[in-house]
Amino acid sequence: MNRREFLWRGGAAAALAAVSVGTGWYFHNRRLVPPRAGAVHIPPFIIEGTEGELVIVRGQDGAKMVAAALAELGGIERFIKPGDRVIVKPNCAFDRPPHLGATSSPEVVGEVVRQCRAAGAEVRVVDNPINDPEGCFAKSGLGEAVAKAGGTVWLPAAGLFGHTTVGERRITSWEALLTPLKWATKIIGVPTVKSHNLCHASLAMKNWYGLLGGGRNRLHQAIHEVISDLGMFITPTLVVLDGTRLLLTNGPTGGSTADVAPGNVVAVGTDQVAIDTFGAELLGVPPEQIEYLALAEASGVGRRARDELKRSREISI
Amino acid sequence: VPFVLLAVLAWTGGTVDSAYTTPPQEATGAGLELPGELAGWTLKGAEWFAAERMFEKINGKAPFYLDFGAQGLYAGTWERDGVAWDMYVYAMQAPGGAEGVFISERPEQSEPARAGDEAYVTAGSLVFRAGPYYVQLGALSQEADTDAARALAREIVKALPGSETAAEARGPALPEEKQVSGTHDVIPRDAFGFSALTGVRAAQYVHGGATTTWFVVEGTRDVVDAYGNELRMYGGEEIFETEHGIGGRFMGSWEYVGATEAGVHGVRDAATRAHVIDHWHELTGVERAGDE
Repeated sequence: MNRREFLWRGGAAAALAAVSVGTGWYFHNRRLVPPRAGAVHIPPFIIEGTEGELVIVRGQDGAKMVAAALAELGGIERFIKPGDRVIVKPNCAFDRPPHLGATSSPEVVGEVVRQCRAAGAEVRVVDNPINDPEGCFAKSGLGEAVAKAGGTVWLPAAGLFGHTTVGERRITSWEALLTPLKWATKIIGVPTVKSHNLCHASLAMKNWYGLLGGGRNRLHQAIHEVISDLGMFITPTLVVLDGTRLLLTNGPTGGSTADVAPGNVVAVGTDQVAIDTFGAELLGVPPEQIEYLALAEASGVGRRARDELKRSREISI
Repeated sequence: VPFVLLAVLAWTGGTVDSAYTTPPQEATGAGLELPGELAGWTLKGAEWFAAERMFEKINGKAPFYLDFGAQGLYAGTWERDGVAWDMYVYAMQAPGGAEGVFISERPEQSEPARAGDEAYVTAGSLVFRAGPYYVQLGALSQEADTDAARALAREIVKALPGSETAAEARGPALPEEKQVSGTHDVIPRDAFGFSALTGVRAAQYVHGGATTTWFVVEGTRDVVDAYGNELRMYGGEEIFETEHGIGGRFMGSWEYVGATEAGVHGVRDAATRAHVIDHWHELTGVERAGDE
């Protein structure tokens, strides 16, 4: 090798290494999506003074458990006022019948709607499912339950989406169901309790994924941080965790009744992290194994330890 | 490490083989399609989701099937006389992928059924595998007649192209005898931490008073050599080579991988070298070589 060739190769090697290091530095730990100017901030929907409350009700009848939990929390009137516009967000992600456990139970969602209607609110039930929305609301039984309870299903038409702020770790902004979020004065999440092959458990915070649009599958790349961000995205008025059925295995889709077990429990409260921690326990997953719980707690979304809540009670009916 | 490799590449004036830079060929093909009518059942809303689109149907569950070599998902609903069964057909690259998913998703307690290579029923659902296909049938009601689903499943098997797997296409099999119940597993990739071991069938066996893990994988001596290289790289000790294969002590126990005419066979988790050799010959039925 002569001197000219030595310098040429050495220079090329140094330049490539510099470009590689620079590229790695630039992309290291970058957010999946950069902040978008003009994204609408979604305000918290929680009622002041109701933070850190949780009631767990065990029983056989989903609707009665919801009613008992709300009564124990001081009644739906403490959360919903006449004239409120309430968004109820169930998990209606897949066009599967309720007994497969991939979607929230019609009886639980129906009772939440009925309670809100009784309190004098207008209620719209919203989800942006993975599968065809009409098919999902039909096959899951949620469409019929919502209609019977006096609510309306608000299907996710393209014109309803706009950019909103989300969280702080991975997605600061994303395309979401902006029109319903701006319309609402209160939001109630009604997630089901499901295993999830990427994040162990799909519960209350993961349920807000159904308010997002766009290429959501990208969010699976950093799923724990994204779920923590979703906890910051929506601060709900209430969460009603539907544990009447538990999708213990092969979630989030399931596919066989053998994957589902009766849970006979509903948890209602205002602390998403505490509720998700309880949901993980229902699935038999040690909460410390679920990274997003710790991340969400660190972000101030809520608390994992139930004994650190303002009020936490468990009753049977 | 990539930075160093790039620098070395530039220094040596090397080039990258176009095989590594050319985009891979479309693996998913045109997709699966079944007839619109089968034994009085009508297929509605059927759609093929190629691998890269599977998330549109099953979202976060897609990576699970992709790990086992899913090429795509064909989903639709069969209807007859007001009864409907949802169908999810996962087309895998090879029968081993369908078997792996079947084993992974099968509940501990299930009622076997007769459809395809293996099937079971639960209330309102029937699951089977046939050749490279893994199929879920789910009723809208838990009280649905599973006898009707069994008959439908057998019709679907007949209609699925290439669902009847020739014995040789199934790859090497593990023996039933002496297998510890409930331990049979299919590991799609990086079995036991070795990237050389892909599509491995494994189970525990009791033989001669010792329990070890036996496994089989399609391949030849090349797989054994690649495994041997990794064993050395990862710190295997007392490594030995025989006419059939390579073994050694790794992470506190003995393992041995060798090639036969039927494929690559391995034994691990043995307490002694004698045990690992003994179990390997029990697994393969191959005569001992002089160096074993």
